[in-house]
Amino acid sequence: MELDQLKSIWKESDAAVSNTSAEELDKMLRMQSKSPIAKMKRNLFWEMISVVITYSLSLYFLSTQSSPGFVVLLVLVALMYVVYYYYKRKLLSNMECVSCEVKSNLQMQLVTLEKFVRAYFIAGTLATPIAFLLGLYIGLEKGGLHRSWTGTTIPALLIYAGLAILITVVMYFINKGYVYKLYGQHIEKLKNIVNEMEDISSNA
Amino acid sequence: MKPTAVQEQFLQMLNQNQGIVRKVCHLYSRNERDHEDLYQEIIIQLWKSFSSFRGEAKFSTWMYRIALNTAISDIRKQSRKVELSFPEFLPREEADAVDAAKEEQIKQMYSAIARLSEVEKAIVMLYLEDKSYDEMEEILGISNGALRVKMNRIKDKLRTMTKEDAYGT
Repeated sequence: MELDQLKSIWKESDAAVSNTSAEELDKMLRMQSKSPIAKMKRNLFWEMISVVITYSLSLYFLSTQSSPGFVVLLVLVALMYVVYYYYKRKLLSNMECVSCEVKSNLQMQLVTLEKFVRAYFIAGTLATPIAFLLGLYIGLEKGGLHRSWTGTTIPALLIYAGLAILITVVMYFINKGYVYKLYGQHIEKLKNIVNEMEDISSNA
Repeated sequence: MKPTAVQEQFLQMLNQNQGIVRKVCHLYSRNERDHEDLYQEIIIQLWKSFSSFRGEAKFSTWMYRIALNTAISDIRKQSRKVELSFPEFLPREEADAVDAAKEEQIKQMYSAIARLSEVEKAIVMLYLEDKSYDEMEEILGISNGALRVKMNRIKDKLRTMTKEDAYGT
C-alpha cells in the first residue's frame, strides 16, 4: 500500500471524532499542566518557598547572636539567591512558544533549557563551599568547637580550605549526575529532534 | 458551572477542528491512557494561548503548531502497555467495511508510520491531511523545498518498511 492510498481513509476518520462538551472542557481546564516546563515552574516555586522559610528562620536565630559582619554576609547570600531565582524564572518564562513554528520553538527550548541547566549546575556547585564555610563559621563560633573564627590558626584554616575544596569537587560530580538525571534525557531528545530538523533543512 | 463567552468561543473553534487534536494524539501516543493525557495537555496549551491568537495565521495552522509542539516536546514516560493499531485508530464502521487483505495492508502502513521519528510523523500527518507544502512550512518552520525532498524519502522508507513487514524480513 502507498501512503497516498491512505489519504482518503485518513480524511474519513474526521467524521467519527466526537465533540468536546462544555463540562468536559471545564474539567480539563481545571487540571494542572503536566508539561515539563510547567513542572519545572512548579518545582522552582516550591524550591523558593522552602528556601525562604529555612533561610528566614536561620537569619532570625543567627542575627540576634552574631556579629554585624556575619549578618551582612547572610543578607548577601540571600540577595544572590534572589538574583538566581529571578534568572531561572525568566528563563522558564521564555522557554517555549507553543504557537510558534515547531522548529523555532524547539530550538529556543533547547538553548534556554541548556542555559537553565548550566545555571542550576553552577549555583549548586558554588553553593557547596559557601554552605560549608558558613556552617563551619557557625560551628566554630556558636558550637564551642573553637574559641573563635579569628583565633583559628593558619594550619587549621588550610585544613578547612582543603575540606571545602574536597567537598566542592565531590559535589561537582554529584551535581553533574543529578542534573543529567533531571534534565539530561529531555535535552538529548530535544537535541536529536532539532538536529533532525536542521538536517532536513540543509538537505534540500 | 456556566462557560464564559470566551470559553464558548474556544469550544466552538475547538470542536470545528477537533480532528486535528485527536489525530496528533493518535500518532504520538501508544495507548488510551497516553492518548487522554496528551489530549488534555494539548487542550490546556490551546486554552492558555487562545487569548494571544490574533488571526495572523489560520486557526487550523495555529492549532497544528500547538498540538505538534506539545506532542513532540512532551518527554513524559509513556506507559508501554498496548500499542495503538489500525482497529483502534479508525472508526469502527470503517474498519468493518474494509476487506481483510486491505485491512492487513493498512495495519502495516500504520505500524510503519508509528516507527517513524517524531519529525517524520509530523510531516506524514500534514501530508495525509492534504496540507500544501507552503502550509507545512508555516507549521513546521522547514522550507517548502526541503519538505518535498524529505516527503519523498519518507515515502520510500515506508514502502521498504511495509514490504519488509509483508515478507517478514
